[in-house]
Amino acid sequence: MRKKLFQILIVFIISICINFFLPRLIPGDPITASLLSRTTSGQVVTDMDKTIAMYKSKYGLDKPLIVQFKNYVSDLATLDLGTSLADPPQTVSSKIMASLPWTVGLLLFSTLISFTLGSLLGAAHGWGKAKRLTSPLMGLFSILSSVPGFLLGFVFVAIFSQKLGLLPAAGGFSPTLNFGWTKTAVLDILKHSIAPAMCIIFSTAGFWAIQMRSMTITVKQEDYVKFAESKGLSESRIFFKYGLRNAMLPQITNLGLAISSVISGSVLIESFFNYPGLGGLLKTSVFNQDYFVVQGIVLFLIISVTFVLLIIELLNPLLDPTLKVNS
Amino acid sequence: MKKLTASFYIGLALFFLLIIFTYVTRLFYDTSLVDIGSKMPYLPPGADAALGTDSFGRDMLASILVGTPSTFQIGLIGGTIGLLIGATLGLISGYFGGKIDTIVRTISDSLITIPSIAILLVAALNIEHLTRFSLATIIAGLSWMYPARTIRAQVLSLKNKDFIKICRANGQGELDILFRDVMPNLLPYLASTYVLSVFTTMIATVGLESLGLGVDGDYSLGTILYWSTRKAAVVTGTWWWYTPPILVLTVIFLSLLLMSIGLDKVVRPSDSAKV
Amino acid sequence: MNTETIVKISNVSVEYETQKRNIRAVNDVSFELVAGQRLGIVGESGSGKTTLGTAICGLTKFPARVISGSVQIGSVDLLALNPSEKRLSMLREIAFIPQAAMNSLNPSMRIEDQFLDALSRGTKKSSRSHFNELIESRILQVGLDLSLLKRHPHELSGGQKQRLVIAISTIISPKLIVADEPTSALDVIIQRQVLKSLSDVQKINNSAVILIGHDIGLLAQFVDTLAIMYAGKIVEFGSLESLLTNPKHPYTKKLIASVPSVLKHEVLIGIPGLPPSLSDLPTGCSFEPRCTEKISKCSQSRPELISVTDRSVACWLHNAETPPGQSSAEARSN
Repeated sequence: MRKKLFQILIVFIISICINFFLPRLIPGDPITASLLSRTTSGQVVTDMDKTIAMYKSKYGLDKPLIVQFKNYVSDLATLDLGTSLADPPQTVSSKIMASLPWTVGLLLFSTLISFTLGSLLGAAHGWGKAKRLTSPLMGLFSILSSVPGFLLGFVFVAIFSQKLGLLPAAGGFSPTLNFGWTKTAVLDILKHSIAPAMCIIFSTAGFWAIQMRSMTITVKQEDYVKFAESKGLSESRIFFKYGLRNAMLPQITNLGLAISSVISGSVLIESFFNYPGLGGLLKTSVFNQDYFVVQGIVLFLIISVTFVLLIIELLNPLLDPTLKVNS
Repeated sequence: MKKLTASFYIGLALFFLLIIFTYVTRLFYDTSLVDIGSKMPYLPPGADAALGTDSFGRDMLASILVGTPSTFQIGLIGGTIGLLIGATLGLISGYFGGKIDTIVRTISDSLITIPSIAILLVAALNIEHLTRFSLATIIAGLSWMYPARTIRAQVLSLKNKDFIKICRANGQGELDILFRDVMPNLLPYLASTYVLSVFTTMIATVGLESLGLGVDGDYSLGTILYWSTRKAAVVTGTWWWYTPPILVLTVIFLSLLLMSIGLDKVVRPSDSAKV
Repeated sequence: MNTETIVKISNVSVEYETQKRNIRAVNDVSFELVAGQRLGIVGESGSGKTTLGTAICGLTKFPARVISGSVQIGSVDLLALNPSEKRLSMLREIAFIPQAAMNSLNPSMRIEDQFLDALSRGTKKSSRSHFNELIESRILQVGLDLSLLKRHPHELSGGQKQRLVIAISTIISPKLIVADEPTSALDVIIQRQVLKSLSDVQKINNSAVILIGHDIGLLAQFVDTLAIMYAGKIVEFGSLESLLTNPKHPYTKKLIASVPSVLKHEVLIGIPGLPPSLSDLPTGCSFEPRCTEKISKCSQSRPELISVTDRSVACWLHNAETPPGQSSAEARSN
């Protein structure tokens, strides 16, 4: 386990470095370009030269690389990610923090459902139960998981929002909503999260199902399943306690491996729905050419992946009794 | 060589049919209709425009014909580069082991956890002039890890097989063994990871384009989708704007998925349980 | 020893379905056991002994199929039961201890839960404390420590796991225990412990035991009755003593002779040739191609298992049908 934690740390460090060096290695000055295009699109930027100079000195772009890197790291440590170019004086970190709860809520909720449903489907299919039901479902979800989630968004909104008028087309909440723990507020938020959640679930469940299926096939042939049968245990008991339980264990690790693509996909889905999480923030910031916010989001995505990997690494020994190392 | 299943051939056929359709139809159809204002905007599919027009007056059929090649090119180029880098690194790291293996493995395992969208955003924002080739290369830089892992695992298992030991005992040079004896056994895995590579490249490309950050000046399938969301096509009921690109993309991804399934049966025959 | 027949195997045949044709792995096997009797089934790989063991326990699975016969345990014909009745009779009437039992324990379940598993099926509301008492007494019976109950399988050694499997499968005191090579993956000292555990659990209910193996020397230390199996049929069946001191079937003779002596320096004797392919059995006696005592009749028709004085044997040399002058004639009975 220590090895894994060390690896996660390495990932983190490498990511931070890439995030720092990549923009600087590429010729071109994004800040100037961003401010320039802002002027041409009609936004007023007072004292262009002074602003550019201020940014440059703040970010020490005129200083040697080592000093820049030092500043970068210390800024990170204090979560100072800069000020928003589009909405000064809001800071990047405040904007990100505001959008974070939405993403965490949506992602957690959707991934949990997707993982559970997908795994159960895959396990049932691999075990051989109810083939008439599981085969077409497996086929459906496999196909769906090969298509990027936000494409499903088009279909969803077209049908459920336009044709049927059941769900809102975009956003995380109604514009006229009063926030608070009222029933209307909670229902409103839930209603807005159904479509994006469905997109995430349908586009990722297939992946879990496929993984679980092959694990279940392997487990089914194990000796302990045969012994369970010779003990005269009921089919459902064998399926749940001997099959599913043992097939599930490596799945948690798979969750860790897949997390980066799950996050990538959900960012795009949120973006499509203008959901006020990181994805929605990303969309508006790209549109506004708010360079620093986008950079901040990038950094945050990387950090969140690392964070999730850490949690999984810590959670795994608790869930998997075979990992308890006896010294 | 084990036999390839029908799934693979169907997928391959679909893929090529789409390519042929795109390139052949271009000969008959006027692709300049993709320009803004070439027809009346918001025309539903019908007599005036086979697939309708968008809010800029662009003909949808022309848009598809112009947009699809871009996705194909980036996908195939990116997939090829990714496979070349990944397979080579996997081959070397698996065969020679030792320090090289440790370094390659650490880098690969670390990079695999970085969400691709993050790096793509950094690249898209900072590179002033993004070309198809440069985008493909960047994506390849993010997707080489999967081929590397797969090939490495295969090489490791082959390395210790008896027939390789016999080659060595016969005095064959290491590089010679690598290319003449190990490589041919990797072909099904190379094919399988190539398909996967192309697949992930295309997904990443479309994702980036849907945010409006695609290749400069390119009007690709993802870009069409981007503009359709910009102009709220779903809300205004302009379904003919986003449906053609989604259909084309679905066909592409489906064909790649079928190919991948077909190759998977060759690569992992034990996985197919009796249905 | 109780002389009431408790196990009656009658004309059991098992076939494997393959693409070309069906292979008969067990061919018309019959025998009877009384309570407390210990039978050892000996044979080379491919003789059908494991298939027979599985069939006796009602655990035959695709692609194998029991095509005829009955397995009578007490008053129950195991093979005639429907699936849910069969499940209930598992562990009650019969217990199966598989080969390499170390892998037979669920890696993610605690040992005590794997005991409770076996106890609570069918019987819903027996008291937990009653179960605990039973479990504890059994664990101690097989010579293991109570602390093992809270552990997981990967924390235990091979020998411990094997004995646990024995304890779990016999917890409801079945009438028949079938053990398939229970010691093959273990070292000699552990082997002895395992056999002792098997013996201890047998005594609890005076169960009959069938021990399947290929090592006649090992089996001889435990069983009182021996059945020699070759190419799907039992070729000799009788008390351990009579077979060891006076083997009649040429195969039996060769098997016993092949056990190396610790005391003398001898040339190791093997049995020349290979066991026949079950899909391509010779007409006549299956052992005939390798037999050194064969007569002309042996290649013409297959001898049946017939009772002679103190045992049963399937060999033309010991068959009353064989004309005198070719073998010592023995009175035929039954």
